[in-house]
Amino acid sequence: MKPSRKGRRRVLAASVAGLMILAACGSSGSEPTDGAADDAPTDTAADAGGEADDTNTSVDAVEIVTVTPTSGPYAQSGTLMLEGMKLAIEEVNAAGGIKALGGAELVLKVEDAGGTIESAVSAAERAVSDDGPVAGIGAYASSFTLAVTELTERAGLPWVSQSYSDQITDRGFNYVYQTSVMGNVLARSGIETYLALAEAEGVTIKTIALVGDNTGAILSVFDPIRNGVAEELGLEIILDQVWTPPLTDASPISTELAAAGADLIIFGATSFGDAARVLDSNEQFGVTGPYLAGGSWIVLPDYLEGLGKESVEGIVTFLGHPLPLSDELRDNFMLATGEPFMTPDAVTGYAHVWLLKEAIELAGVADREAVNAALKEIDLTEGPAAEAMAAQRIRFDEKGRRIDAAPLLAQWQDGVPVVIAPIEFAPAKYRSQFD
Amino acid sequence: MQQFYQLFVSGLLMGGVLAMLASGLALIFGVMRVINFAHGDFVVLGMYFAVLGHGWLPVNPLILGVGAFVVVGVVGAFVQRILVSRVTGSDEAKSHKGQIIMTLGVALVIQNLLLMTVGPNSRVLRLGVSRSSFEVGGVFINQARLLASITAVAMTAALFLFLAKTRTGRSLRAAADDPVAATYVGIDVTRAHMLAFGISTGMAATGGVLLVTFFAVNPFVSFDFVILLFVAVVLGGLGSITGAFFGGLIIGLVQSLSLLWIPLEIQTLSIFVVFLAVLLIRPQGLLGNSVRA
Repeated sequence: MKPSRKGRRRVLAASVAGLMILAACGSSGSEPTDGAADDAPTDTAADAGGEADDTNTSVDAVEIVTVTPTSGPYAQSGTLMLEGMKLAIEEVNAAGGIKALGGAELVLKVEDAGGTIESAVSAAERAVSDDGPVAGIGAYASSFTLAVTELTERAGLPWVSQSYSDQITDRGFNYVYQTSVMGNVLARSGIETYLALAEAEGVTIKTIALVGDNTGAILSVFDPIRNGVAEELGLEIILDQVWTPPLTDASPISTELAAAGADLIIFGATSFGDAARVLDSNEQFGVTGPYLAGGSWIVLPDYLEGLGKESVEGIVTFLGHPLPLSDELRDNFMLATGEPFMTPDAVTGYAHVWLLKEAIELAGVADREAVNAALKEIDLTEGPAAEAMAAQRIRFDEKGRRIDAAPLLAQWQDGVPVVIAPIEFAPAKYRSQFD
Repeated sequence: MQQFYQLFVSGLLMGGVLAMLASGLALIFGVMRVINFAHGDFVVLGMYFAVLGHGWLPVNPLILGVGAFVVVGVVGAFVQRILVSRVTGSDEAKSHKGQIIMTLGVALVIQNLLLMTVGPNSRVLRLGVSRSSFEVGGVFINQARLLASITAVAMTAALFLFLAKTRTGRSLRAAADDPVAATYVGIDVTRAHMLAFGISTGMAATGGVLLVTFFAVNPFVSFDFVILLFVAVVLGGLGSITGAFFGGLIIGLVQSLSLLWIPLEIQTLSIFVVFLAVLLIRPQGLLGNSVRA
């Protein structure tokens, strides 16, 4: 006998209700990490991070969120940054959690930004879709961060980023903070420092070749060079080759580099595959550098394992955020992850978690507005966050830019990237690329 | 002029590999009317086969290519039999929708399985040939790309001979031309489809082995070239393996030679401009058959 229409409607309503309950209980591509019970973070953090609540000073857990690429072409960088965050989360909770909130556990919610701006935006939508997180970190690539922070700003979620495109904090946003050196400062300072190193070797650099992709991070460094920095430093750009990733064949670039004969090649490739093709192709065409890379993208174990230490030996790069300045931090990270070294991305992930921890302590309440206000007035000169960053001080200006951000130069030496400048605290010396 | 020769050679070498991959994709469409959106991911399986296999048994990549052809070909045939066959049928309009979803699903599964098992890090198979090149008249020819291109063309030629001269090949063509009539003359169409899919995915995997000697792999790298493969197939004419072969060559040459006139940054644009121009003049593609309304 066929069920009645009324009966079918009841079954349908019950099914829809059941699906809604299941959806509310499950997560969509996100995972809490470290120290949290499976069902605790969402409920407790929702209580903790929602509307302003003056009495919310004692909670079980406080949630922060990260949008980081753990798949796609930036997966290794994003994964290493995440490993740095997880190390910091463990340390925070092992030291007693958020003391101002009665020892609340710090919980990290992870959203995968994927490999495209669209997937990063989807991740950001998931990140801001609930009131749980009181602050966030991400999203590695400047292109991703620009898109992600459009959503976090609208959600009033304080957001800390290590991306170095100037545009990120040029938009007049109230909830976005950058800890890196800005692209234009990085370009000028990095090249100036390199020119000084070359002069000390008796080499004068007059001509440069710009070779890089057109992602936000590389453009934020290359555009200032094109638009005045080169001229001001007395340099002539004799070749300017830009590609849209992915680069399938680097031989046209190598042909032009071989013909141009620039004194210095300024190189920018956020994807390992593209960088590997350019370096390999250049080698075959007899183009041996010297190379000055722009950014932390070249300071990855992929280059060591994929290309071999000979291919990267001697390459110098200017960094907007540091390699580990403490042996203890570096050793703890290597022990925890098995990686051959700690990258700048991992250092910033670590430092950002500790920074947010300190901001929550200063706020005294698990509330987005209070944490945002704390970030605006924060001035850290001690503690793991400050100690991990160059200049060992963290404070922000009215735009949300870190006041004391200082560029560094690093060089691949014997299969390990080491800081070579500023000389006053660099653990290693520059090895000449001009032999 | 030197630059022209260099770009021509570079384009031809890359085009040779694309031509082989596109021919495999066209084989599936030609025989089964299946649009395989997972084709790029079978290429990636071949790339990982080479990287991981070489770490375990450091032999010549051509031997790894044979291994990849067999292993991934069997996997492909299995996928066709268990999954794809369920969304193919006589009603082309309905089955195409199912195929798209099914093959996209297979692609996602492959990508995420690779992500879970081998991780997100990029890898490349660095051999002596990867970093070596010949110089002929001032033109640099990378040895890895030359080897890849020659092998790719040879494999495609072998495919053509197989389809034209062997009984099994003729049965595949019969199954493509008219499955019903083929059944009447005793051809096992189901087996023919499995075989076609297996050969296609096997060729894709062999192409992957050749590619990884100069192109880094990660679980999601199929996005970088699967669009080009579909452009090659459509440009050459849907269902025409010969057309797909020349479509791949044209794409390689256009992408490279376009640099004589346009910046590197918009290099890929040239492919789509040529693609649209060809379709405006010949909507059925270069070697496809026109269909009257």
